[in-house]
Amino acid sequence: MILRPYDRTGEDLERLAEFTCSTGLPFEDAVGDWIRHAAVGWVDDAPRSTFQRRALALVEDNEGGLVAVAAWQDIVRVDVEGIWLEALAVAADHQHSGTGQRVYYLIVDRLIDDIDRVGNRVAGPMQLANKWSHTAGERHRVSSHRVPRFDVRR
Amino acid sequence: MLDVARLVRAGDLDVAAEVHNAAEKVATHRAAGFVADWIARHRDEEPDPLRLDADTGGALTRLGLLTASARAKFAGRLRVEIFAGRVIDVSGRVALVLDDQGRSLPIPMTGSPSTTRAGSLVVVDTERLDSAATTIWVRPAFDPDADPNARVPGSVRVLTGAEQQSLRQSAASAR
Repeated sequence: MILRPYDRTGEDLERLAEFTCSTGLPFEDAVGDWIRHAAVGWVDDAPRSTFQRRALALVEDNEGGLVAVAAWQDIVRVDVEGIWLEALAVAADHQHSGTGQRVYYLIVDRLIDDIDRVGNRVAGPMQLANKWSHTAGERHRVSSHRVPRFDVRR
Repeated sequence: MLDVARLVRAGDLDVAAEVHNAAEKVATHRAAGFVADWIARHRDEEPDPLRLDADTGGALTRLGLLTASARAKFAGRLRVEIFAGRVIDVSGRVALVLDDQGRSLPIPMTGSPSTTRAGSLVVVDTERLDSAATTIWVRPAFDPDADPNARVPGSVRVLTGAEQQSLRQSAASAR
């Protein structure tokens, strides 16, 4: 699998607009909705996106198929430095085959080891009902900001 | 640096060195670079903190929060009275700050009124030097209980012009 930045000059706009990841759970619907409708605006929201080092990335398989989408930025509040993992979603047609776990570790390892950043925290919003994310997060040193409802941003 | 001077004056040199190091760290943070670049580009203008913060994508707020949080670690050693609250009214050259316990503190308006606009969250440091002199430092507030993983825009931030106007009207109608 390959993790690469979103390319606004190619087909990525269309692929993001058609991305689906939900199995029917409300927080999955919300993440998919955000990726389809708000992610591009979020990463292009200058100057905030420049200062906060927002990034939107795609994970592709060896055939170029879209496996997952991830978005992150600097944590920019209070006295904590690190990376905020805004979204991480595996495409609906790539779930339940161990792919989700591989994608998760691919992205979090990249955030922890390779990204230019200040501080060593990795954090992100995790829905109370998303047990998989909690387990993976605890195992992988990702702290969670648990939210009772995921706000859909447009 | 004001805190470093206070601590040196009080003979607390070890803590003064720690505070100085903390200030150095904040001054070299990447947010400071964004702020410095903006000021350099607008060197012929009176810096407007709201516009600076908006133009840099939140760098000034970030710097303010880092400074305040670093300073909070030394609060017990600085020998200043700290009052945190929201500016609820501005009348002439005096602003009224109200904390969440309902206590109020009138403060003189600073030379640059942007920090003490109605609705701003502020912290007021008061140091009595002797029986005749008092220093007051008013600065943007920092919430030590805030979610450390939260991101701007958050509850501790510089208000937009529209929000300030709305609060000003609310304060006026409450009188």
